[in-house]
Amino acid sequence: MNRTVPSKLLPYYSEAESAPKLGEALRESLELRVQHVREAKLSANVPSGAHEPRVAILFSGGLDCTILARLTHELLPLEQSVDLLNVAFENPRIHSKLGAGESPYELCPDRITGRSSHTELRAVCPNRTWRFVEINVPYTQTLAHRTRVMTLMHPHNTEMDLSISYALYFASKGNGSVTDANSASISYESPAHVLLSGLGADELFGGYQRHAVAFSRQGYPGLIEELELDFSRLGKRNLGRDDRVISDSGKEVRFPYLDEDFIALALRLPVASKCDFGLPQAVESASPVDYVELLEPGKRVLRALAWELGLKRVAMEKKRAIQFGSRTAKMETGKTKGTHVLS
Amino acid sequence: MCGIFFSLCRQEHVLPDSGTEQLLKNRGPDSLGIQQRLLFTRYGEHETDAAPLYATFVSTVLALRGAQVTEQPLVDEKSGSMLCWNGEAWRLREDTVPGNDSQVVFQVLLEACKAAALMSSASAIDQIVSVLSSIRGPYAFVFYDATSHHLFFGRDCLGRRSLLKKRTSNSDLIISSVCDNATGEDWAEIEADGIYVLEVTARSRKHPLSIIHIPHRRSKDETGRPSFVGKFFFTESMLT
Repeated sequence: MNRTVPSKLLPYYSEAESAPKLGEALRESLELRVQHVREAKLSANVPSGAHEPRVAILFSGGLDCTILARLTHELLPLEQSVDLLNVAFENPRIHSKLGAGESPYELCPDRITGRSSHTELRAVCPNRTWRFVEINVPYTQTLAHRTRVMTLMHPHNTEMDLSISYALYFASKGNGSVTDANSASISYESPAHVLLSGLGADELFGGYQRHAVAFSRQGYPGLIEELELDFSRLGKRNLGRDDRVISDSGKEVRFPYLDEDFIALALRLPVASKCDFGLPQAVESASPVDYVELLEPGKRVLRALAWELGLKRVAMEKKRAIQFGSRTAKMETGKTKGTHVLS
Repeated sequence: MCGIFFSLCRQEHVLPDSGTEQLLKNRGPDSLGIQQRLLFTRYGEHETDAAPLYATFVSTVLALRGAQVTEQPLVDEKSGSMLCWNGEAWRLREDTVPGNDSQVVFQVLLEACKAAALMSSASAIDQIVSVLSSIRGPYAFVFYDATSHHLFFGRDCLGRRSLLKKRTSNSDLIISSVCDNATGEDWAEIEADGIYVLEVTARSRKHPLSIIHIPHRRSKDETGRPSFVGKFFFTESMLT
């Protein structure tokens, strides 16, 4: 990992300057992962094969997955639609006091962010059909699939494993509804066999709160140490679990941010070209500032990339973990810890 | 996605239980293949061991790449070598792999075995590991090199594909992408920390299997041994 610390003597590229290079590397990673999908099965059987989505995105509406959607757009033929799988759960702990006619799903943070990022994607790439697939999971469904999800994630066995696995399990099944041209909701099952996940971006580009904490306590050396720790355990612990849970749908999850060449580039960049916590986020004011300063430091290089790609609102998006965004965390009782081992 | 199951047992062929088989089919709905082999091993220089080991290879396939469905396990009839491949080799030895990758990976592995046949047992391992270390992309696999009697298995250095190992009392080897743990069986993840190698010898039949671990490198390797899997992204220039 590049351990260079910013100084006046050693010029370095800012996040805005390194963003295009990173975008190019991500495009190359995606090129391998989104093209020529399932040609043995599709071209022969489906007359409308050109329009059928072959790639879907696990879509919380956050920064990492929306960048993947935006770049995928540049790599697939325009007539091929892309599914955005957005999952929301009814959580009895949180949704017990709903008003009349209030939907628990529309209150989920990821549903709200998902809709807003979908709107921005449509505005930036108007010629693409983006299908925003609302996957709503009633609590009864969650309970009905509990044993199955536990089997798939085994030998992982904690409360947090289950929360994350529920979200991935139901998202990858792709059973939900879409809104048609007349604003009517119609049921829909995504036929795409390749799913893209934004996993890895937080670890590579300092997206977690603890990165900010490490910098505030120990400056650049502390931040670099935290990023090195992330890299040393990248993947390892959880990717096997995610693979087992998602593959049960007969689909394959792919991780564009975990491409070997992309990781190598991310490691070569000095920390100030990725997430310069030494340059705090500027408050919007009357005096004009460089747009980069309006972006928060965590994952700032990806935020700059999103900004350059026209996704200005997404560039400002806050980080939120999947189990909290989709409301699968602590469904049974609010008191348990994520590390609690399930029986 | 695809599913893998493999067993190497002393008493009989062991297949996945019905629950596990269904989970494997869910992962790979396009084809299911089973290959069973008796592995006879050399006893001494000239003697062949009378009692075999029972090897079972199972693969399910979800066809994502190539113009046809490539069924697995892949078998080389001539040598008896076999591959269960669950992965995406985007690049192999610096070349992009267009179309279906499992055939390509198998062919390159077979060539490596052939080249190694004239060398020592250690070089056979080096040859295979060198092929695997040149792969960019996620994978879990089981490969049996019938020429040198070596069994290889493992996951890519990030662990992007699942592979589990069952704890058995008699040291039989049972591996699967996914398991039905309804009966409370004890499975553990095979760590994504390298490639595992087992030499099938007459000794394997009577003694606990001795499995060699060849680690992925995530940082500069202290021992200085070359050609380990995973070295690709962590060359010295990137780390300093």
